[in-house]
Amino acid sequence: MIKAYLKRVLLFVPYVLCYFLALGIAMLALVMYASEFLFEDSTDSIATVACYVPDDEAYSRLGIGLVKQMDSVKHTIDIKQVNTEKKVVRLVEEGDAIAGIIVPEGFIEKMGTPDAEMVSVIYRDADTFEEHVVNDLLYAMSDLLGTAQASILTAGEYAKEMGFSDGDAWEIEREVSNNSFSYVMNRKTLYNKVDVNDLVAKYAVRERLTASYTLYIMLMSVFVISFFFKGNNDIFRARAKLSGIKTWKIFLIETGCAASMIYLVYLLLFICLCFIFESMKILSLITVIPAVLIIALLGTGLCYLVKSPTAVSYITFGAGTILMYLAGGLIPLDFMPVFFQKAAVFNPFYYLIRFFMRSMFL
Amino acid sequence: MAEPIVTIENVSLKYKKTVLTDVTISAGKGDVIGLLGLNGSGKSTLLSAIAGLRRTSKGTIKVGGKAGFVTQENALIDELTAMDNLKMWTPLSKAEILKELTDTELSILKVNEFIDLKVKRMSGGMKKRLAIASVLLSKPDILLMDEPLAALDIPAKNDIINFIDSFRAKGGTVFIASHSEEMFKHCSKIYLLKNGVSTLLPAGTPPAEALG
Repeated sequence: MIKAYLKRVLLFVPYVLCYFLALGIAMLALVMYASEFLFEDSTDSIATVACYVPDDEAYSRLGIGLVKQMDSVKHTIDIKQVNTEKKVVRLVEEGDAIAGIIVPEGFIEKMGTPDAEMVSVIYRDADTFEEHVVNDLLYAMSDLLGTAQASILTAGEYAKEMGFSDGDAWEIEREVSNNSFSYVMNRKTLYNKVDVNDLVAKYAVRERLTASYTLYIMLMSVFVISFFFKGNNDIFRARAKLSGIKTWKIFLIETGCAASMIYLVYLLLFICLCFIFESMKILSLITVIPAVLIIALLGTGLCYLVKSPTAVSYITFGAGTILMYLAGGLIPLDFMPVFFQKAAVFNPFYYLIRFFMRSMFL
Repeated sequence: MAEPIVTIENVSLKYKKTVLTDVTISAGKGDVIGLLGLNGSGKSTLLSAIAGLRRTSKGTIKVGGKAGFVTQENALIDELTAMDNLKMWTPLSKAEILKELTDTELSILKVNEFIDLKVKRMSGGMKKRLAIASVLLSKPDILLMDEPLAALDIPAKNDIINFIDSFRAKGGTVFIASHSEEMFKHCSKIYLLKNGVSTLLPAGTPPAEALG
C-alpha cells in the first residue's frame, strides 16, 4: 500500500506544484504591492511613539524638538510628547501609541558616570509589530538622542534664538562638548531593551507578509490535496478493513503523503523567494517541517471528518482565511481595531504565523 | 443438505431507522443467494453485516470462511493502473498476480487485457472486473456482490455471470444484491427483502412479480 501511495504522490505533485506556483506568484505580487503601499514616500507617520522627558531634561527636549523635524523621523514615527510617565504607559496599553520612550531624571547629567541611567522603551507584548518597530525605535532613539547631542554642539545658536541668555547658551555648548564624545562612544549601551532582530522595518513587514502568505498557500494546499485522500471514503475504508488494514494506518500514510506534498510546495516557494529575499534562511527547510506536519495532520483530520471535498474547500478557504486575517496574516494587526489586536493572542494561527516567520527568516 | 457456510439468524439492524427485522438466511457451499428488494430495502446493509462491516442490533451472523465484498462503488484509485490497484491489496508479486489472472477462474474477467491501463481511462465494465479480481486475489470462500451488473454492457455482464458460475462450481458461495432478472436466473435461492423482512421466494417466481 505504501508503494502505491508513493506512486500517487509522484503523479499528484506536478498538479499541486503548478497550482501553487501560480498562487504563489499572485501572493508575492500582493506582498510587493502591500509593502510598496505601506512604505511609499508620501506615507506619513505610520507609528505613533509616546515620549516622556522630565522637565529638567531641557537638552533632551531640545534634541527631540529638532529630531521630530528630521525627514527620516517625521515620515515614519510621530513622536507624541506627554508630561507624565503614566501617560506613556496608558497610550501604549490602549494602542494609541505603538511604543513609548521614557527618559529618566538626570539622564544627560549622569551620562558617562557610574550612576548613568538607561532610557526605557516600552511596547505591547501582543503587538505583532513589536520587533521591528522597537528595533526602529531604538534606531530612532539613537538618531534622536545622537542627533540631539551632535546638534547641540551648535545648539547655542538655537538656544539664543529661543531666548536663552548668552551665558546659558555658552554653558550648553560647554556641557555638550564635555559629554558628546563619551555619548558617541557609549551610544550602543544607552538602551536596556535590545530584544530585537536585525531587520529594518520595511523588510520585516514584507517578510512577515511573505511568511503569512506562504503559510496561507500551504493551508490552501489542503483543499487541493483533499482529492488525494481515500481513507475518508467509506467504501475504500471498508475494503481496507476486509484486507486487514487498519484505518489509522491509512491515516498515517496519507498524512505522510500530504506532508511531503505540502513540503514540496514550500520548497518550490522557497526557491522562488530566494531570488527576492537575501534574508531567506536555508535552515528553514528543516525548521519548517513541524509547521508542515501540523498542517498535514490538521488537513488529513479535516478531510476524514468532513469527507466532502466541497465542504473541505469551504472550511479551508472560509475558516482558514478568517483565522489568518484575525491573526494578522493577511494585513498587519496594527491596522486593525484594538479589540482584534488583543483577541489575536487567542488565535492559534497567530502563533503559527510567528513560528513560520521565524522559521523562514530569523 | 450440506452444512451451511453462512447462517443468518433473526438478524435485526438499525441504521438511523430500522433496516432489517428478523432476517434469517442460510447458505451452503456452492450456493448463489440472490437478494431482491427495492432501493433502500436493506440489501446492501445485509451484505455489509455479513462482511462484518456493520454490527447487528439483534440476532447472529455466522460466517464459516473468508468473505470478499465487491461493493457497488468500486474501491479503486483512479490515477493508478490496474496492476497498481491489485498490488495495493495483496502481498503477491506482479508475476504471481499475472499468473492468477491468467491461470485461474479470474481469467474469465480478462483483467490482464487492461492490466497497465489507468483506472480513470477504464470503462464501467473494466472497473467492475478489476474490482472483482482485486477481491478474488485474497481467495475468499464467500463472495458478496452488491449490484455487480449495474450499468454494464452485455459482454461485461456475460463475463461476470460466467465468472460467478465458475466460482460457484468450485464450491464458492455467492451473495448477490441485484435488480437484474438476468442475474437471478443463476441463483440457487432468492430472498425477497421487503420492509426489512426476508422471505424465501419459491423457485421459479419471477422477480418482477415478487416485487409487486
